[in-house]
Amino acid sequence: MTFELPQNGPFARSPLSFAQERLWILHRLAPQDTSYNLTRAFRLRGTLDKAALQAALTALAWRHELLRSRFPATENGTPCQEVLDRPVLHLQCERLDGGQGFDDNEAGIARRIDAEAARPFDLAAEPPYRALLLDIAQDEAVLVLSMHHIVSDGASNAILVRDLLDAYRTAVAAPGRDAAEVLPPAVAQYADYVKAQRDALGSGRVSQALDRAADRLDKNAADARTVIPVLEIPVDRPRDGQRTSAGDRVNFPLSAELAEGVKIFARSEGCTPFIVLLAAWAILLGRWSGQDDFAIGVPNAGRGDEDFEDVVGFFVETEVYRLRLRTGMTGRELIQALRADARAMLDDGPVPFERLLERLPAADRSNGRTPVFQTMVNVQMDANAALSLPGLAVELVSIPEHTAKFELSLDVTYSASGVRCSIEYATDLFDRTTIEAMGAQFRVLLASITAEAGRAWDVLPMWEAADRHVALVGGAGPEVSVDGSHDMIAMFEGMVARQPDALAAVCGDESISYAALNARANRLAHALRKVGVAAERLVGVALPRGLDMIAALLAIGKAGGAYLPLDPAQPEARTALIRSHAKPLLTIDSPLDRLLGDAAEGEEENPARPADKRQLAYVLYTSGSTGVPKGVAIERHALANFLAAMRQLVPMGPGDRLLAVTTLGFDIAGLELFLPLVCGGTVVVAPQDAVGDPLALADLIRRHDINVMQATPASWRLLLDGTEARWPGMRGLCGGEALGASLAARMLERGIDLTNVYGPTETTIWSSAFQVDQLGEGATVPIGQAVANTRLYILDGHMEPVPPGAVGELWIGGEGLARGYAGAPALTAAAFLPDPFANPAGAAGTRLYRTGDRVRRRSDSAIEFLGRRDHQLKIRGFRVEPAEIEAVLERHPAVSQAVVVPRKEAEEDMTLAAYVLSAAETDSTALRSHAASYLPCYMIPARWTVLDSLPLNASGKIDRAALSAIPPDKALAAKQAGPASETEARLLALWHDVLDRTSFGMTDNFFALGGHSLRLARLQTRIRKEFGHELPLQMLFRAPTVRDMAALIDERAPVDAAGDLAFMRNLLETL
Amino acid sequence: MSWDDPNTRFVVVVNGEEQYSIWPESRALPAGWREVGASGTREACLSHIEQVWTDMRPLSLRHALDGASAG
Repeated sequence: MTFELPQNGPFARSPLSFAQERLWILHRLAPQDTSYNLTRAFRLRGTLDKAALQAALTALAWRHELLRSRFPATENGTPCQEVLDRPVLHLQCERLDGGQGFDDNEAGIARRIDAEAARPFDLAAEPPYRALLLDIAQDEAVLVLSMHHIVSDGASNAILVRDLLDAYRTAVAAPGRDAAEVLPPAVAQYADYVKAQRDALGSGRVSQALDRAADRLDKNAADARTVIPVLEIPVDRPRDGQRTSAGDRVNFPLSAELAEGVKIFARSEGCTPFIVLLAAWAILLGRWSGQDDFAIGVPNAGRGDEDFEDVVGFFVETEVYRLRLRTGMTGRELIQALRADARAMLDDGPVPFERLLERLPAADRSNGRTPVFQTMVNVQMDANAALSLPGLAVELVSIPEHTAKFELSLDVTYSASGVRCSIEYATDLFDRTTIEAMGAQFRVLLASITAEAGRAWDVLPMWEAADRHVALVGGAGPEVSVDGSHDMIAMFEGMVARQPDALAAVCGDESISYAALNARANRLAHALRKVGVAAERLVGVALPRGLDMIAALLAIGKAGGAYLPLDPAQPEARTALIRSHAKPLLTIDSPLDRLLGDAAEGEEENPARPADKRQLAYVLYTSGSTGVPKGVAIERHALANFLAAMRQLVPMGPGDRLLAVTTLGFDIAGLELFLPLVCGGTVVVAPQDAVGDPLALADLIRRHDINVMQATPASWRLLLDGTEARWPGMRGLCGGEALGASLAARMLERGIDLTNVYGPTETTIWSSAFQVDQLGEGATVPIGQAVANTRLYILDGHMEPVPPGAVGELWIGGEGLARGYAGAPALTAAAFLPDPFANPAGAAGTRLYRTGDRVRRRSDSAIEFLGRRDHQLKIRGFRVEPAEIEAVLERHPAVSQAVVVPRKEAEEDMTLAAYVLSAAETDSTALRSHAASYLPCYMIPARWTVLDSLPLNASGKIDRAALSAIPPDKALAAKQAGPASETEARLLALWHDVLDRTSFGMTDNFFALGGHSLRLARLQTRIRKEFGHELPLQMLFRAPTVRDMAALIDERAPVDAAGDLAFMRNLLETL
Repeated sequence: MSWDDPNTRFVVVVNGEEQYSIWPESRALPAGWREVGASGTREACLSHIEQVWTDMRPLSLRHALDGASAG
C-alpha cells in the first residue's frame, strides 16, 4: 500500500529532547540499525473490527502528537521534530498462509514479526510508527505495532495499550466517528516536556545537579579526577570497531529462595533489591575484567512531572554509577556506596544524560565503544494487566530480541510469578556458553553477597568448590619421565654415536657432520676445562652466527659450564653492563681455530658427564625494571625437560632440517639450535645478513629444503610480506609475542603447519603451545595448553583460581622453572613464590613463577593471552621494560625525567613513545642518538615528545594513560599548525563555526576540542554545503582532525548527478 | 589479603632446596616450606632475603658438587 506523505507545511516544529537528539544521531550514524526499534505484538482472538482498529490506531496518533511527528534536520544541521497536521498511519493487512500445521503457523508468525522488527525507519521522512495485521485464521489475527524509541519508551507501553483499547471500544461503539474525535486530546504533549527540559537547563537546579553528578563521576577511588575507564570484559571474538547490533539473550530465573534472600538482605541494609542486584553485577564484571574502576548505566523512567504521566514519548533518563572497587572493600561497603549514589541522584532529580556527558572529561569517542558506560542494569516491575476487548481476547506475544544495544546488560523483572533475569549480549563478541557461565556466577555471587556481606568483593564466592578443583587440575600438561639421560649434551652425544656422518649443521657454504661437530666441541671443551670452566662457571659467547657458535655452546655444556649469550650486534655499552654483572670466567669472541690452535691434538673424546642435573645450563639477560638487565639462570634439567616436551610437540628426526633465524640473545634460539641436534636432524643457521632479509630467508628455505622453522610474529610477517612462496607441510612455530589472527591465516594459506607457542624466559623458552588447525574468531591466536611437566594456573590477586572465561594472571609451575635471577635474591624471591597447589606428598616445596601476563581460559579450554599486568611489554618479540629505557634517557644531561609508554600502531605493531621532561631546549634527534648508543634498536622509542611538565595521578605517579593523549612533539605540531591546503583552510573555517573556537591545530582531535556527535552532524551538513560531498558520519568519526578530514574530502569526487538532485530536493525541503 | 596490597604482611620462607621466598602472613604455608622467622612488609622481607640468601645454588646441587669435589 502506498500513501502520500504530506509535503507542504507549515508544520509545527520543535526541538528534540536531549535523549532524542542522541538517538537521532545514532540513527544518522547507522540508518539500517534496528536496535532502537520497539516492537510489540498482540494476538487477537474473536471477531475483529478492522475499520475500528484502523480508527483506533489513527486516534492514538491524534492524541499523542509524537506518533505523527517526523525528525528531519534543519538547515543548520540540527534535528527537529515536525508534527504533521494529521496522522499518516495505515494499517497494513496481510494474510499469513503457506503453513500446514500449528508449528508451521507459529514459526511463520515469529518470522514475520522478526522481519517487521528488523525493518528500519526513516526518521526524517515519516513518523516512526507502523502497524501490521496478520490474518491467521477465521477468528485469529496478530497485531504488530512498531515504533522507534525516539517516540516511545518502556513506560509508554502501558499508556499505548490502554489508549488503544479505549479507542477501539469507542470506535466499535460509534462506527464512522472521525478518528480525531475518538480519544480526548491529551493534557500535555512531548513538546511541552522538551520545552520544560530546555527551560530547566537554564535554571540553577539542573545546572547544580549536573555539577554534582559530574563531580560524583569524575573521581576515581583515590579521589583524583580521571576519565572513567572503558570496561574491557574479555570477549570471545574481537572488538574491531565495526560491531553490528546483533544480540541475543540468556534468560534464567532467580529461585524463590534467592529472590526472598535478596529482599530480606536489602531490607536489613536499608536499600532496595535493585542496589543488591547492581552490586552483584558490578562485582561479576569487576572480577571478569580484572578492573576496579568502570561505570554502569541504569535507566530511570524519568517522568518527574505528573503532567506527563499519560504521555507517550521517550522520557527515560539514564543514570550513571561509577564503580570504585577499592582493595578490600566489602560487599556491604559497596552496597552502601551505591545506595549513597542512588539517594544523591534521587535528591537531585533527573538530569539530561547528554548534558552530563559534556561535563565529563573527554574520553575518546571515536573508538566505536559507547561513551562513559558499556553495560546497563535494568530492574523493572512487570505490570502486564490482563487485556480484554469487546468480543476479543487479547494476549501479548513475546518477541525474541535479536539486537543488543550494549555489549552486555542485565534485565531483572519482578512479577507476580517470580523474578526473571535476562542477560542481553552482543553476539558479535560473546558465545552463548560464556554468557550462561556468567549467569550462573551472577546467581552464586548474589547468594554469597547476601550471606557474607562482610567479605571483600574480590573474594566473595562466585563458583562451586568442585569447579575450582577442575580448573586447577585442567592447567597441567602431560606428565613425561625425564632423567639424566635426557641431558641435552647426553642426547646429542647419543646421536653422534648413532649417526656420525649425518649432517648436523649448515651455515652459508660451510657444513659439518655430527662426528666432526662433536670432535670440534670436545677439543674446545677440554681446552675450556683446562682454564677452569666447570660446574656453575659462566662462559660468554660473543661469536657471529655460524658453526663455531654451535660448537662453542656444545663445548661449554660438555665442560660442565653454562653459556652467557653476548650478542655482538648489541651496543657495546649494554654488553659491558651484562658482562660486569654476570662476570663470566672468559668470553669466546674470536674464531675457534685461533683458540684451538694451541689445544692438544687428540682430545676429541667426550668429556665426563656433568655431576648434577641442577647445574646451570645458561644465563640469559633480559630487560629489567631497575634499568639493569636481569640474568635468568636456567638449569640443565629444565633445558632437558624443554627439549623432551618439544620433541613430542614437534617431532624431528634424521632428514628434518630446521632453519635457525633467532639471535642467541633471545632464549628461543635454544630450540632452534638444540632441538635438531638432539633429534638427529640438521640445523641450518641463517647467517647474520640473511636474518632480516625475506628474500635471503626464502632462498635458504628453498635451497635447504627446510621443513621446520621458528620465528616471532614480526619475523614471520617480514618473510610473508617479502615473498609469495608457499611452504606446504613446513612446520612453523610462532612465539615471542601475541600472534594475530590475520597473520596466522596468512601462514596457514602458505601451507604452514602452524603451532603458536608461549613462554617467559623464566620458565625455559616455551611453556604452552597451541596447534592452529583452523582459525577461531579471536583477534589473537590462543597460547593453548601446558607443555609436558608444566602447570599453568590462572589466578586472581589473592592467588586463587578464577572461573573459566574470566581474566586472571598466569602463574607457571613445573620442571621448566628457572633457578632465579643470577645474583639477585630479592628479585628472585619476589617472582618465584611458594606453590600452594603442588601435590604435597614428599614435595620439597616447589615454586610458581608469576608471569605478569593477563590471560583467560576460553570455552574450548585453550588459554588466551590478553596483555601484560604491568607496563613491561614486548617489542618485536623482545621483552622491554620501559623503566630500563627511561633510566638510559635520564642519563642525558638535559633530561630530568623520562617516561616511555607503548603505542599500538596496528595489529602486532607495537612502538614506543618517549615523553621527556626537560627545562632546556632539547632536540629529540640528540636524545635519539643518545638512546641508540646504549640500547638495542628495538628499545629506541619511535615517537618523541619534549614537555615542561608531566601529568601525575592521585598517588603522585605519572599518569601514563594521560600521556598517550598528548600528541607527539608539540613544538613540531605547532609549526605545522596552519592549514597546508585550500581544502584544509576551507574546512578549518567550518570547524571554527561548529566548535565555536579558533585556537587549535590541524591535527587536534575534534572530540578533544569539545566536539560531540551532534556537532559532528552539523559539520557533516556544512561540509555537504561547502564541498558538495556527502561524507557518511561514520567516516567523519574516524577522521577526527582537520588534516584527516580534509584528506577525506580531497579523495572524494563530487557527488554524482542523481545524488546531487536528491540532495537539492532534500535541501529545498529543509529550507 | 591481596599480594599487591601495600598493607599485606609477609613472612620470609624457605624450602627444602633452601630457596627463599615470601608468603602472606595470614595464609597457611604450602607444603615443603618453612618460616625463617622474619616478617614484615613485602619490601622488608625481600631486603632480608637479599641479605641472607648468599648462595643461590639449590641445596641438592651444593651437596652434589661438594661431594664431587671431595671425591
